[in-house]
Amino acid sequence: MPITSKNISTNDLQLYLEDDISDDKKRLIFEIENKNNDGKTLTSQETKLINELNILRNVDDFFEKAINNQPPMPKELQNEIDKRLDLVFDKEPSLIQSFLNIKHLISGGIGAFSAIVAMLFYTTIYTSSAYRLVESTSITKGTNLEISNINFPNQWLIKNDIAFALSFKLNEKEINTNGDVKVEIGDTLIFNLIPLKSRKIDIIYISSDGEKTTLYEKQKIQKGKKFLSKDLRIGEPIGTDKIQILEDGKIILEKNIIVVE
Amino acid sequence: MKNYNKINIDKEKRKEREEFNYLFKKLTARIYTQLYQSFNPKKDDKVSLQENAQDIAQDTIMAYLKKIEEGDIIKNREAWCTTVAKNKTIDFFRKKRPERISNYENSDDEENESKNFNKLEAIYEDKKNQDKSFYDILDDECIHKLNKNHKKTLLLIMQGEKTREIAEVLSIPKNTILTWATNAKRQYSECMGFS
Repeated sequence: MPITSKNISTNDLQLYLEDDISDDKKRLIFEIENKNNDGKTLTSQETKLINELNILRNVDDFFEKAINNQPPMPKELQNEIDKRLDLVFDKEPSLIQSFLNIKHLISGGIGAFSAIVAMLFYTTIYTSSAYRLVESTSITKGTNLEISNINFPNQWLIKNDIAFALSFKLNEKEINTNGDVKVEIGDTLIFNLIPLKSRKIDIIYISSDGEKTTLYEKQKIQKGKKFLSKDLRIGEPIGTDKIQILEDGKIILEKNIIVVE
Repeated sequence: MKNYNKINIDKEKRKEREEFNYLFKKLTARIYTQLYQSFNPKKDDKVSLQENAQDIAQDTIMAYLKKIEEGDIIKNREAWCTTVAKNKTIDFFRKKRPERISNYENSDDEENESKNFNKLEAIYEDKKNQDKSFYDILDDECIHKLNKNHKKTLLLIMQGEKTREIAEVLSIPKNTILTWATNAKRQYSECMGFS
């Protein structure tokens, strides 16, 4: 039996305002509202519903307005938030466009903004497939080099004021840097790094057999600028490798990479 | 193109700033309501109670920013902040009351509560005053005219809770809460002269 305005109770109207009502009732109330807005003649039952709805809605609107009439956030907190917004938004407009498109994939939070700054500059680390060693430690700063080949990360690990994300190069697969990172032999990774404060760091790759490779030594990284990255091609052996970022010999960020066949 | 981007960035920044500002106000309103109901403040103590609510809201947003920086992914900013604010408010109760609020009367007794409310001077005479802040609403006689259940439900609705959530928290059937909510709104609206 189709729903009519007689089937709509005041409680339903409250649920309608909370957007917690069945679709058929929601559609009917919506239609009656539209009819009223268009100036069409309403039945007495419909008029009663609209009046009830307005009473309930007026109270919500009043509360909403009262919340808005409260004093704004303190200057100190506003400055803190502005600092982070400026960090992201003022750097590179073209990348902000990318950021806006993928914003929902990352998180609703301000941390996502910080992480996005990591896209501002681009470099790669090449390693030999056989030895997984860095072929060249030269660093190329620039904007958006080979950008079309990169699978942009959508998950970032942010620790000790550094945003870090791994992503595949030339590969459609995505990596969740916050979860277990599994890669296959032959995959090519890049990592994106962005500090929230300038510092000098070392980056070490430790293979599952214990072999350590220093990718960067006393590398200066600047606040808000993306760290340099070359390709990192994954080779044997299989097992759990590690990327470690150190400052003054202390590990400030570590990520395990599980290498499978 | 550059100008276009600049406009969009400014717009996004403004939007984010506004969202944070609104979140702050909403959290402050929630916290203040909880503090108000627990401490039943005297008129002179209200300002410092408002400051306490603002401090807790600020701490909550700062904790959110810190959490994000540490690498945590928080999908629902408002839900996370609401939970943290709730916990921080409970911590606030547990600790020794700061000097600021040392003079508050603490009473759960509904009768005493309404007697105390009656002693309060009305800050705004005009019931239709649309520029009331959330702080003022709690002092409004129209709120205190409601019966205990209606008042409790309406205060939760004011804080942004849905009837489904209120029913869960109070362990009362949803339909009962819905009836209280709609009756409370109708009486409040009439008292305030909305309709």
